[in-house]
Amino acid sequence: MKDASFRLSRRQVILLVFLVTVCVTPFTYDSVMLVYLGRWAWVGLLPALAVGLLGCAVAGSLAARFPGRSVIDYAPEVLGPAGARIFLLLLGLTLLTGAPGNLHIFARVVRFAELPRTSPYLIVAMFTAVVTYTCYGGPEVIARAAEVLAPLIIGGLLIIFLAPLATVVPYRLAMLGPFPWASYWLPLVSSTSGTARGFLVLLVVGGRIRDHEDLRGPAMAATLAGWVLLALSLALPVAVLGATFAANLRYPILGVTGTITFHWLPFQRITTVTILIWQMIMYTVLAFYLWSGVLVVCAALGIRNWRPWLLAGGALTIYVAGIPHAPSVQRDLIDAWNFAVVGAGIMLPAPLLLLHRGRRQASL
Amino acid sequence: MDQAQLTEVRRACDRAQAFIAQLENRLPESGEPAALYLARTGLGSDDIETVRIAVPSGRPVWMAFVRTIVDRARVYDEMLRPLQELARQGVSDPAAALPRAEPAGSQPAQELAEGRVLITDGQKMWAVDMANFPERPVGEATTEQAIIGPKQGFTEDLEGNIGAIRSRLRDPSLHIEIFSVGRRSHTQIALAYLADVVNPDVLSLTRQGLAGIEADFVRTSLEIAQTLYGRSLTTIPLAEQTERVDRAASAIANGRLCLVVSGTPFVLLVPMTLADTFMDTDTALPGPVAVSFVRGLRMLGEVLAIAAPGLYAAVLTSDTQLLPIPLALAVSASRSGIPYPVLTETLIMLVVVDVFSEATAQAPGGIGNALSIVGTLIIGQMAVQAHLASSLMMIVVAVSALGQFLALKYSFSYTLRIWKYPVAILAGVGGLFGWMAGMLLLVGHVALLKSAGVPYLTPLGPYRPRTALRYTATLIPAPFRRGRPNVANQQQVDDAGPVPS
Repeated sequence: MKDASFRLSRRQVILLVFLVTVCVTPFTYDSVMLVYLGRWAWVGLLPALAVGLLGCAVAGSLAARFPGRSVIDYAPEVLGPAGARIFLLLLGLTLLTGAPGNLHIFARVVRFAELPRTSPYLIVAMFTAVVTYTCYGGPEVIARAAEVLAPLIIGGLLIIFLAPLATVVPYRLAMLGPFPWASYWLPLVSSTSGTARGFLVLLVVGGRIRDHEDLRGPAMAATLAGWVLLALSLALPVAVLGATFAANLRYPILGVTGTITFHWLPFQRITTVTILIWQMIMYTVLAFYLWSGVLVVCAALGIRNWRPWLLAGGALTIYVAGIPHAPSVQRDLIDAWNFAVVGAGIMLPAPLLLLHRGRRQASL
Repeated sequence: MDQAQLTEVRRACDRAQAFIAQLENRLPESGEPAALYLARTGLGSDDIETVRIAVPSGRPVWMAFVRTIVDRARVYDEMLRPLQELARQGVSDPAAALPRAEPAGSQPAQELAEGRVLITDGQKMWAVDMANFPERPVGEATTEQAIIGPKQGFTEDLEGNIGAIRSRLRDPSLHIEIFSVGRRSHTQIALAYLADVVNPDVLSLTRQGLAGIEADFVRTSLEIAQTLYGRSLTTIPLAEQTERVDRAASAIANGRLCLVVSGTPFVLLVPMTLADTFMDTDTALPGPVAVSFVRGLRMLGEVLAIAAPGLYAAVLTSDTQLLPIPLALAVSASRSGIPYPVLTETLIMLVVVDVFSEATAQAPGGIGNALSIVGTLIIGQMAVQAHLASSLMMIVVAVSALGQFLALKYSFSYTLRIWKYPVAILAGVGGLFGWMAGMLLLVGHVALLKSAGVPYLTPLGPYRPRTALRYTATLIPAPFRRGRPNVANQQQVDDAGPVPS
């Protein structure tokens, strides 16, 4: 495919896996998990870890089986032209909906914490314009930007998650009583707790690394690291504020960071710093979703040059992400999207892998 | 033998085979002795001159020398004339005419690079030292002053500049290629590089770029740099400009290309990366810790130059809760009586400071100093008293203006000056969110850029751990360094393996 001959380094792919995994925390996990699961909330995220690790195993195996090629290149070989089109279209739409989904949540947090009177369209348009410009350079540019921002992001995450440890009350985390299975099986909770999406990076760009090494181990480690932060974003509010109090906050992690002030610094509230760190994470993740979504959809539709379509992708992102809707609708969308991710990211690649293995054995 | 050594040996074999093949096909029909031809092609430079002296009743005598580093008057008076006299008498033994001639060593290319003249009659070869390296073509470098360090600067003379580089880098693998650019100006550009160190891809890309420049007139070296790599609209310089000979020689030794442009004292060094804006070859500072400290200050200055005005606008527009209460109250008191929003105040003061900076830069020395005093003391004080700007705003614009002058490259200071405006406007519109969006826009723009095919953010993105540490902080003491920092996939580098693009 024209303009799709990208190459990433192993370090860049792993960094993107980590950032895509960690980007949903802490704002997607608003108080819903704490309301239904209380101090068991972080345990409820274990399925997310399982999904993330399984996804990495499957996508990593595909990358190892087709070295030097992306999913766009090998899908027609394994599924046939028609099957590949359907698969790529599903995968592309999943990725394309990832961008506005994440951006909507982020814009809501920005409005909540910083710009309550600003139109959500202005916020998402400003950010999408910046992201689309970066996407124009392709995945290498996104990965380079991520590498440059990585020290700031990781340093910021360490401050955000380590600083509150001084105020932790350990007994609040004690998981007394049985796990609330009844609440857990509510579609809202079970779907929200099932998302660690780093494997999507591996699925799209995994085969296109320069040094053809097995990415499964490092990608799983990156997913695990991201998951630890996801779990901490639910455990810390409980340990610092108590489960009942934290459940009443819209964004529990902001409640935690709001309790921390550095009087010896000119910037005393780390809540704002938290949002700035998340803005950097969102930048790289949105850029990846937008680029990969446009690339894969273009491949499915037989469009050779994906770059002009970035503008259409960006406009769609602004429109969808800016639509104001009630939190319940937002949650329904998240539910649907999470299932789509699991479906397109896990359920489809797995048969893809099996199909290929079956064909190879038959040819032998 | 490990994999890297094996690869190196294979490369050397390939190069030797290619050279032999080239030699077999291209041995001159003019009858030039093979030894002289080998020495000349071994040096591989276009500034080598060959002279053939015909002897009526014997073998001709051949001379070769690098014209940019020898005393040409002496070569004519002390060598060429006596040899021609002798030739007229039918004697073809050069040693008889040249009492100072010594038998040439085993590396004639090296002799040429040292400024010696090679003479051969086809059987024996002699060398005569005629070196005349330009010691100091002009005075000090005016735009890049070293407190303690070499002060030699380039001039507008192409050959003098090449000679100055050769005097610093007496290596036989220093190759010079001369191009003519500009349909009407026919500006000569010399491409200098170490053939056994430079990345061949970077070299070939630059050759192609030079061959493809279509312009009637080329005035400055920076014009060439921006059109060379197809990014003529960016405000960020894609080639490092320097007028210091030591910096150019050091860059060539590290595997970069040097473009010496006739008619300008500024040479271009490519590829350029962001790290080059705060890297210096200054040796005035004792030890790696002091160097790291100064480089850290430069990095901080560059970031502050762009970020500080925007941060001021963002915090005072929508994020005052970020400040400690006493500071917030002080800022609020400082802004009382100012009739327009923070963004307007910021933009007005940025424009005023830039007008003064530009006026000071353009005005002659004495007037420039007077202007800076007028700007800083009188206008600043009056602006605060007239409630045109707060005192904190004055501090912020002063920090920003000073930060932009910490960039070692003058052309890069303009980049900092220009980029603070979009960042400030976005910050004024969107608070800290807008400020960060502006900074990310800059990161995205820089990540898009490549200089001679090398990503501008190397070695930070793509990340090269050893090179990043050494190239940006110099925390590694000298005894623990090996090779050279790898920013352009040069040969013989510190970090093994290629730099990803």
